[in-house]
Amino acid sequence: MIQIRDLTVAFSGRTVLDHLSLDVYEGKTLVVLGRSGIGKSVLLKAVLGLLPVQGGSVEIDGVEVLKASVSVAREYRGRVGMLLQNGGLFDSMSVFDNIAFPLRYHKLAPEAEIRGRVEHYAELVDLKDALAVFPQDLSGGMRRRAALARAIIQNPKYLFYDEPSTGLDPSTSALVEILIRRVKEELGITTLIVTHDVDMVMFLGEDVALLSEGHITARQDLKTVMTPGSEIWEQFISQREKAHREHGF
Amino acid sequence: MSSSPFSSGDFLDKLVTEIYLGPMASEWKAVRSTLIRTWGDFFRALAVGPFPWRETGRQFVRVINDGWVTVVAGSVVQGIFVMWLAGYYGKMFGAYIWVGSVTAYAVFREFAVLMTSVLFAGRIGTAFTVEIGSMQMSEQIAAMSLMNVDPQLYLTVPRVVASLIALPIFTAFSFGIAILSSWLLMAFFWDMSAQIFFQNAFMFTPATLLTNSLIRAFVIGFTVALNAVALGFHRCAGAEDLGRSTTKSIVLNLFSVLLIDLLLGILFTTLSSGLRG
Repeated sequence: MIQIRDLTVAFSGRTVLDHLSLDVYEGKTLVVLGRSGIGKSVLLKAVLGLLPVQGGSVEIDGVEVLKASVSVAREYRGRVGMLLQNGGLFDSMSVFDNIAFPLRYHKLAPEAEIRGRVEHYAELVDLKDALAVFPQDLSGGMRRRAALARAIIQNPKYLFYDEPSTGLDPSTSALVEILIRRVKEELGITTLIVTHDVDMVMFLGEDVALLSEGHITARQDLKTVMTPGSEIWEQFISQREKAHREHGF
Repeated sequence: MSSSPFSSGDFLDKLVTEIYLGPMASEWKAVRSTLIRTWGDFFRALAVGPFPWRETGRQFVRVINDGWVTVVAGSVVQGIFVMWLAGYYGKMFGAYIWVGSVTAYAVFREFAVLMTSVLFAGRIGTAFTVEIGSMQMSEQIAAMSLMNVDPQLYLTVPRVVASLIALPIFTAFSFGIAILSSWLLMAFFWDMSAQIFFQNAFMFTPATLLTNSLIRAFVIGFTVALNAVALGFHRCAGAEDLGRSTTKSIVLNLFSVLLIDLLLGILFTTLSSGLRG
């Protein structure tokens, strides 16, 4: 379980996350919904130590990682994989080398085993035919699938997704959603997704939390969320229709 | 109480940050803290290890491959330039037989290390800044941290170590190319024999001149690479930021080259004259 308490992050005097608290339960898929620029990516990066935080605590499996020693924090954060918004693939390496990178760098397996594992995970994300290709020659959806294979090759217990459908057309976006569900079901990974994509919430969400004004303002299960009149429906999902109405459309 | 700005202890700082840099003063402060942080991180990563032998080897090959054409071209021009000046005035005063000595001394003492370092800062240093900056923009550095890979150990250490070995090699290479090209031109225009040219060339060039230049190249290679990588790690949110970082990288490194060359040149000269008594 991941417990986030009173997490505060500020940049240049602007508070992005303001005493945010959130629990991620094992085996579940939690979707954090929020407008663009509200601090969804900041939340994931702060939990994983990629950004400095001004206050609060993050416990991964009962161990506080923000104040832990570098080696302890590394060990516990190592239980979490993340799919970055841009994928973060190394453009100097082929897809195969990208996926194999964490295993090779940390010398976690012999080369023959690495080959087998890379091929297995590439197959899981439907990318087995593109292993020799370089990232610049991949489409946006393929790049994200390659990054997903790299994120899961170390068998993480938790997996974070940062806006996995951003910039993708509806059909590619749907494919990514299917893959996320497949990875969750086949590997049993606890999943945290941050997005503004309501379709993704409907397809993947079990629990849904709303991020607004720096903290979680509501958390409900999917069935409740999709009921018109519910808190998250009113605060987020109905906003599109309201904006259209206000502008006379 | 003093009203003159010259009496103020921090006059130079004010001159640079408020008058010269103006609105860029706060930006420069941010750059300064990035440089300090990266220099610190470099030594920390080196101490913590493990040393990235494989990646360092890869970067060394890459630096040599990327830089050698520029160094050869620069060295040919440098040799011709020094020889032309020495030959022109040598002939004017009837002393052109000493052109080889003047050329060798100028090249070994100053021109080879200075010219090679400037070209290195332009060709390799800026490439480091742009490469790391674009890796930051495309979240490759964040991805490394997520995989428990220390970006300083994987990106900074190999580039810096490769550079501090490569620049002295380039400088030694430049000595040879510059002297050879100057003799070729001398033979072509003034019909000077190889025997006379090379006999005189090394008459006044002690071995310490060579080692001093190589030590300067070593220090410059280290500084230029670390500054360039540090500016790649500087806040980089888009193409405009990357352009600014690259400009800062080349300007800072050119000043660093001149300053290190001057200071170490003075130091070595003072030490050698002190040793001679």
